[in-house]
Amino acid sequence: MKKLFALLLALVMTLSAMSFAGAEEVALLSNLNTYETQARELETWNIHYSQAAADLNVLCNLIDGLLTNDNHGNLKANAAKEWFTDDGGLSWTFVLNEGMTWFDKDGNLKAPVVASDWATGLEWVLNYAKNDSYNVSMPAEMIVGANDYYNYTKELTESEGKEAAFALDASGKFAEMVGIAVDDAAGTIKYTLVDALPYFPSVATYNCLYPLSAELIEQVGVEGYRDITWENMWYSGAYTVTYFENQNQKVLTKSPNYWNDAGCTRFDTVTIKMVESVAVAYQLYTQGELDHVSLDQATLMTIYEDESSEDYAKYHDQLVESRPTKYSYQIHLVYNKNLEDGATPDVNWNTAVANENFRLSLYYGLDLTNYLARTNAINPQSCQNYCYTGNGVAFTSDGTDYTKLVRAELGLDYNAETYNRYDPEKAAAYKAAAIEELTAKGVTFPVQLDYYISGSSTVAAETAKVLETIFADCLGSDYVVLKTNTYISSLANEVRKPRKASFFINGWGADFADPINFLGQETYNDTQAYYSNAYSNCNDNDDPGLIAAYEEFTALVNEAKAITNDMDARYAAFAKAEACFLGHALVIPCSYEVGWELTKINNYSKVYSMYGMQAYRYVDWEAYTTPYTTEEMAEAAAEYAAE
Amino acid sequence: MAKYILKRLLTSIVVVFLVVSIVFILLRMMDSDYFFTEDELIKFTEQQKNDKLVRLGLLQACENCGGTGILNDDTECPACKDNPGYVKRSVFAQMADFYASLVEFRAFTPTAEKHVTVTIFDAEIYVPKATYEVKTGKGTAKDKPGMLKIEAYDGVPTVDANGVKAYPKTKKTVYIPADEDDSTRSGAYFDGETLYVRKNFILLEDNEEAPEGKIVVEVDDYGLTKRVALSIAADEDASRLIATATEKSDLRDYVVLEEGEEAPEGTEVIDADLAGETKSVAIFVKDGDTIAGIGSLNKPVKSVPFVTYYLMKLRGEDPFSDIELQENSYIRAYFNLGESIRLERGKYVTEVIATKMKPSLEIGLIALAISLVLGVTLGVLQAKNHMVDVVGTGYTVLVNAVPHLVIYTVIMMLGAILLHLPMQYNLRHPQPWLTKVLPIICLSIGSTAGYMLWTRRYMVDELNKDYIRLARLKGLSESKVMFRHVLKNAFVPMTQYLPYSILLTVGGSLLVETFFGVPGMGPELTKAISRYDLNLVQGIVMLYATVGILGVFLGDLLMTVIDPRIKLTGKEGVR
Repeated sequence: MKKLFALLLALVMTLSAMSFAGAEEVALLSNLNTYETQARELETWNIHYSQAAADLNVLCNLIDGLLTNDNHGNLKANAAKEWFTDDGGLSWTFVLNEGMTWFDKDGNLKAPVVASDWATGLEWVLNYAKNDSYNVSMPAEMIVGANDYYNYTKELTESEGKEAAFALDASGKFAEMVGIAVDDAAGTIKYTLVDALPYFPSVATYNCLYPLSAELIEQVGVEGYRDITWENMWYSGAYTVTYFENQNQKVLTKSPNYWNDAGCTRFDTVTIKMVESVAVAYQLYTQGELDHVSLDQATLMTIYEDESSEDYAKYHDQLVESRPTKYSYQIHLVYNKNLEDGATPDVNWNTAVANENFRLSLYYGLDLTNYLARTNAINPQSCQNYCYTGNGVAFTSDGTDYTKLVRAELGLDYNAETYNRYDPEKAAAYKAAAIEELTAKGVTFPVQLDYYISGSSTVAAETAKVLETIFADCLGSDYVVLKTNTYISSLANEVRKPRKASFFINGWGADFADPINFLGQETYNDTQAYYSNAYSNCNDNDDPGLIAAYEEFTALVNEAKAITNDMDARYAAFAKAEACFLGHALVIPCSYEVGWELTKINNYSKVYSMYGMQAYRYVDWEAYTTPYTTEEMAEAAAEYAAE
Repeated sequence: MAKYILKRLLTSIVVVFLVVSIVFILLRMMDSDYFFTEDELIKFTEQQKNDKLVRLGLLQACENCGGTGILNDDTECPACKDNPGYVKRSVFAQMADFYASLVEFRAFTPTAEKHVTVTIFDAEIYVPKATYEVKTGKGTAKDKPGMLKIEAYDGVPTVDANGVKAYPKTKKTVYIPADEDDSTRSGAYFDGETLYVRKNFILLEDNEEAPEGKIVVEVDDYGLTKRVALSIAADEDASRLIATATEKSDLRDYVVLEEGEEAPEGTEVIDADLAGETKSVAIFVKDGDTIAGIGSLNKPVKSVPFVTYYLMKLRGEDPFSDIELQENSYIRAYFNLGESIRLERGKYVTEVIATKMKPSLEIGLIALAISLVLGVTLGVLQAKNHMVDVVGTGYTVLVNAVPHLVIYTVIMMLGAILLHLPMQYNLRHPQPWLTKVLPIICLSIGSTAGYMLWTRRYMVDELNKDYIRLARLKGLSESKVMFRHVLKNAFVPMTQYLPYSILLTVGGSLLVETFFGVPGMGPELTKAISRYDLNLVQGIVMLYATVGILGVFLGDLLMTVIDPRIKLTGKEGVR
């Protein structure tokens, strides 16, 4: 009897265990619920008219560009099935897939996608009257005749009115002037470039080279297309928009007519909810209304270490470290700064910062670990950044990340435990030399560094306090004093333009896959170098040592830029230039954004692009109905690394 | 009184324009670079940035230096020193543009509609009338007791091959006995010498009985015999009922078909005149529609801003000289406040405000009603009962002492965990009203406390007055004293703010709407300012100013209605 009872009990337990296992069975997620904070609401549905990530993160799902990226950041075929150059990068040809169509939000077919659509799209971008100069910079710099055509449309608008420029299309003057040749029958688009640009295919992932149907313009008119909405736009991408309530939510639904249906996996729907803050998003996640959430510092620490909390019990084992975003953060030193009145030059600072020993004392003397912990309290060294160019932007032929070349030049590598660049001995030596040289030049110590943060951000205020302590502890308050100031609404207008800050900490994300997109922003006496002109103001400091350092760096950049036939040699040359730039501490690399999250999505399956606008394409994502555990995500990371 | 109201309204209009103008000037004092995001500042060249600002009417080329930033003698132009070649456009010129864009006149021709107008046939019943009198001389219906004046077409309407009905160009004025209560007199016509009047009717289902007082007749509706019920007057001949076809114009979605293209499901294909070109058009039909005719398609022609219109008129010019006005063109006036230049680019500000106002009004009015009922009731109870007073005062203090965001977070969590209510406003929820519960509760909480506080205070004030003591001495019951005298008088000062509170709901709540993701008016102004959407800021400021002034004015009026002792004019009780 006892045996029988034991057998029955065992049977019941086995069955219940099986049924329990059945209940826990993991299913693929078919409807994704994601979020954005309300400040990042989309402002236009016109993909050509936008330069904002908030718009492009949605629009990249609605229209297919020529190329996209895979989960390793490699270029991947999209609307174009193949691409090649016959002349070392002076021209690039893209061959389109067959059977692509434009359709409306309900999936009704409107027109076939043809090569001419790319000419129409480029004409739109370059037409001054049509696109208000949005996205002109890249094609104007790269494509033959593009800048001339832009100027032509501008002059035409000014002399004959916008209607005259509206009447232009991809034939006539545009076809005559601009280096784009399309063949609808063969499905080819050929761009002729001003120079050999080996990285041009990565530009083809960006919206400046997106297609536009001439028939759509014919239907809605020029102004109608400029103000196009989700309801009357034409789609050719993986999703259509089936619901949109501004500041509330938008729903992307799998396009029924998508040309690549068999070649990719998509969610049935993606619902993007607009939330007030990450804290509210977390509450929604706990109620099952979202499928992933990034964690703010307070919530993260509760889940991570407060064993008495319910959140710890529920989510501790599901904490997952995010992958770095595409932004490479730098401490941008300002070489021509004004005092607080925004008009009188701050001679003390301008003299000090022009001194290389002073800059190097900052470069080696700051242990930024506590600052990085503001982004990633659990694992601050994940945020280390020792290069100017971002990780994952460019790779050599053997798959080596370009930044590894730079780090090799600098003799510096990442360390999971410590902040490797910090070298108190070197810093002390540079500090002593700087004090001696600068005292002779009349600089008074401590040198005051003005740092500006948004007055309404308590998070920024707390971070600034941490930074103040780092400066005082690492370099001594007899040497430098960090003073935190606030601006009300616009950093650009209230601080940057009147040159009131000693440095800015800001991130740059590349638009295409080449180090020139980073280093080209910093060259000396170059009107196209945005950071030199708008942030560091290096062109306005007449210190010979500083000018010499900048000229050396600029020459190396130009040398590297000229190498177009051998990518490995090009990257090696750029690495030398970047090492020179950082060796002179003209900029101090600072951090990456690597936070923590709770998620049902395999982060390693997502499109991972460290440049451009493809990272938010909801295609080929692996997501489940249950959240990833820390271990499962680690396994996914290991698998990804082994791929 | 009328004079006073007129004076107040005129003053209000002046104040609104003053407020809007001041805000306009203040906004223009901000650097125009606020228009650009940091991303845009990085990617635009200075020239492109300036071009954009010129197009927005914020900058203009410098006249001193001819757009170069350098004067003839090689010295830097002082006018455009900060932005070589460009100077800020005069605020007053910008303001003139803004006010000019408030109202637009647009000229339309019959081919100016965006939608296809289709003709859908339906049954219509005409009845010949025996008694009528064609107007021949002077006189009105008033001169003919028991008679009604109508206009009848002088001839039979015709229907062409496409089913489009054409009416005779001339009409006759006719008097008919005013004894029918349900006749539709528009569309009456003369057939030679008989007058036919169109009748209202009720289509009957099989075996359905006609309502009392109506007769049932059978009519032929394009081959189908249908039973209808209608009223027949004594002089109408039921034996000569005519069922005829007429059109109902309707705007329908359509698809213009290319040659050989198949029509989508649920459509009927017809030939249509599309801006002079005949094309096949597939019209999406509703159940039972029979489409037999077609209008035409085009886009609105051109527009002339309101102020420009009058300025040109004053100069003796024709404002529509460059607009091709075809036969039967008509002009519409639009009050649109210009276009949003940033947040919802291309949309008229009035459109943006109308869309955003709806959810704000919806949750705002419900919350206001709840807080008014609860607040006043609890305030009255507080004045009467000590225990309720202690609890109510505690509640009021708590609501005012704790930051609202904390209260909202607690409500959100409790609502979600205990009641399983959705945490975010969501019209796609299977039960959308459920998603509005938490925002409504949050909105009500603060204002309930306010109404409680003020009701209690005014009630206590009134309770201590002599007339209440007298009423009690006279032996009036406590409930009569409380409700007829105390509450009535205590409520008077609160009524002044009632219209204002109601109107203010259009403005929404910044905190609640942001917190619960309500796509309403609340956060719109701050967003518009931070994104430098100037027209939208102006529009919202104009709305708020109007609401504020109108609210106070209506409050004053309401007080005079509730308490006749209060006068808006005169020496006594002037407010």
